[in-house]
Amino acid sequence: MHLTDYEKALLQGDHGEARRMAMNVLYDMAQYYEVDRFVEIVSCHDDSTVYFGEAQVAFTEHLVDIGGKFAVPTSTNACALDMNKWKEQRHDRSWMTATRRIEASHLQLGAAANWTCAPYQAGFAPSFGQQVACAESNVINYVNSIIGARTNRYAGPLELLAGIAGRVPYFGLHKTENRKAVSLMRLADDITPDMFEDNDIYNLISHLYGKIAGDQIWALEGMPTNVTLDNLKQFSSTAASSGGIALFHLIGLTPEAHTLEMAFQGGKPEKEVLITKEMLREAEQDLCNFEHEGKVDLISIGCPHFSYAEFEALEQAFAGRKLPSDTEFWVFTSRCTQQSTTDSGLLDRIKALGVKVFLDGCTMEYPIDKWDTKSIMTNSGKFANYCYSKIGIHPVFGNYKDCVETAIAGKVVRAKKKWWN
Amino acid sequence: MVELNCKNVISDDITAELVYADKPFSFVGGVCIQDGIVQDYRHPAFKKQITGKIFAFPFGKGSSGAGLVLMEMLRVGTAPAGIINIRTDPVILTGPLIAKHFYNQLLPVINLSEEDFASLSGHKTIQIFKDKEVLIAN
Repeated sequence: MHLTDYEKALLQGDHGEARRMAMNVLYDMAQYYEVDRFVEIVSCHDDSTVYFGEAQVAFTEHLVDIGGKFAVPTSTNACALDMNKWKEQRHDRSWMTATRRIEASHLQLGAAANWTCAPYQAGFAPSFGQQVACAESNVINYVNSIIGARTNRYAGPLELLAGIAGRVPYFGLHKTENRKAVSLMRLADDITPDMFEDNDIYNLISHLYGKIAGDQIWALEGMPTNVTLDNLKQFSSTAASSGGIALFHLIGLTPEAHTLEMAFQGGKPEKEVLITKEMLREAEQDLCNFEHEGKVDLISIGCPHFSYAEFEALEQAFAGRKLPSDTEFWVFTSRCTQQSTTDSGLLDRIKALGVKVFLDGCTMEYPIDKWDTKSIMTNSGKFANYCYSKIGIHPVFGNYKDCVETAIAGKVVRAKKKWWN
Repeated sequence: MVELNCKNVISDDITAELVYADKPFSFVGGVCIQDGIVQDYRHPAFKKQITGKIFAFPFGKGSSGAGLVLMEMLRVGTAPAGIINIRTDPVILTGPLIAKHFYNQLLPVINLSEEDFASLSGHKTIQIFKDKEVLIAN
C-alpha cells in the first residue's frame, strides 16, 4: 500500500493513540479490499447516534478517553429521541440517559451536534466531487446521487474512525469508474406528467427502483426535471430502504447523469426494465395498508427530517383547520429547521393547529409498548418499509395532504390517485 | 468431511457448529441481541440461535447499524463464533474489525467462493485455522 509520510506517522502513533487505532482498523480494511492507497475526506456524517446498546456508548467514550478528535467537520445523525421532550414521547429514562452519554461523547470528539438525518438541509452539504465518509442510508444516497459527492456505505461506528483519521481506503464509490450505471430503468408512457403533482409518486418509483436495482447502480430515464429537493430526499431515503442502494442516476436531473452516455460513462446498459403504471399500483400495495379504514392512532411524518418548505406546505394543507383534540399528529425535524421556522413564526402557527413537533429523534424509535397504538399513517416510503419490522404495524401510506385530511376527518382519507385509472 | 480453500479476513483456530443460510442477512432487526436467535421470519435461519456457532450467509444487506449490533452481541456474549460469507461488505466487517483492534476479541470472518459456499449446506461443524486458508466441514 502506498502511504504518505503523514499516514505512516498516523499508523505509528505519532499523532496520538486514537488516530493510530483508527488508522490501523482502516488499514486492515484496505488490505481486505486490496486497496493501494487512502483518500482524504473533507467531512463526515456520524450515524452512531441511535441507541443500540452499551457497547456502542462505551466505544465512543473509549475513543474520547484515548484522545479522539474528529479531523474533519462531522455532523451527527438523528438519535433515538427528542432530548428535551422524551417524556412527552414516553421514552424510557434509561434510553434518555444513554442518549445523553452518546451526546456528551460525540461532542467531546468535536462533532457539530445538529442531530439530523437530513444534514444536507441543515448546513452540512458537501460539494460535487468531494470525498466524504457518511453513514445513514438516506444521507449516503443523497450525498452520492443528488450532490455528486463521494462516499461508500459506511457503518456505525466505522465512520467515527474515518472522521478521526480524516481519510478512508480509496475504493468503491470514491473512484469515478465505480460510479457508472450498469443498467437502465425507463418510465413507461402510461406514467404521465400530471401524476407528479402527487408527492406519493416519488416514493412509489424509488421503492421500485430499490427493489429492482438491489445493490447495483442503475440509471432512471423519464423523470421530470422540476423536482423539489424534498422529493429527491424522499427518493433517496425510500430507494435506500427497499434496496441496498448507495448511488442512483436520474437522467437529466442528477449531476453525474446529464445524459445517458454520461451516466454509463460511454458504456451500454446490461439490462433494461420498464416501470409501468401497473407497477406503481403494486408498489403502493407494498407500502400501504389498504385494509385499515377507520381512525388512525398516530400520524407520523418527517422521515427524513422535515424541511422549512415542507412545513410551509403542511400549513397550507391544514388551511386553518385545527386537529381534533384526540389526534396524535407528529412531525420530526432538525434543530436547524426549528430555528428558522421559529424566527418566521411558522412553527408557532403549526403548533397552534395541534401538531406536535419533535427534534433530534427518529420516528422509527416510537416506543410502541408505551402507547395504545394500533394504526399508523405516514407519507414516508422509508418509514412505511421499516414500520412493520421496527414497530409491528403495517402503516397507511399517503402524502402529507392525505395525512392532514385523515387527521381532520378522523378516518382514512386518501385522494384518488391518477395511477389508479 | 470436505476441505475447502478459503480467504481468511479475520482468522483464528476454532471448531464450531454450523448455521447455514442461503439468503443475505441483516443484523439490524434480523437477530435478537439478548439471546442470539434469528428473528427475521423471512430468513431461512429463522428461530435458530447463532450464539457460539459459525454463521454462514452469502452477504449482508440492509441497515448500516450492523456494526453496532455485532459489537453489542460481543459484549453481552451472544455473538456468533465466526462468520462465513461469499463477500463481506464494510457494514458486516466493521464490528469484527473493531473488536479485533480495540478489544483483542477475535470474531473470525471467512470468505468462500460461491460454489464452495453452497456446498456447506448439510454440514454440521466447521473447523477454521489461524495460519492457513483452508476450512474443514463435517
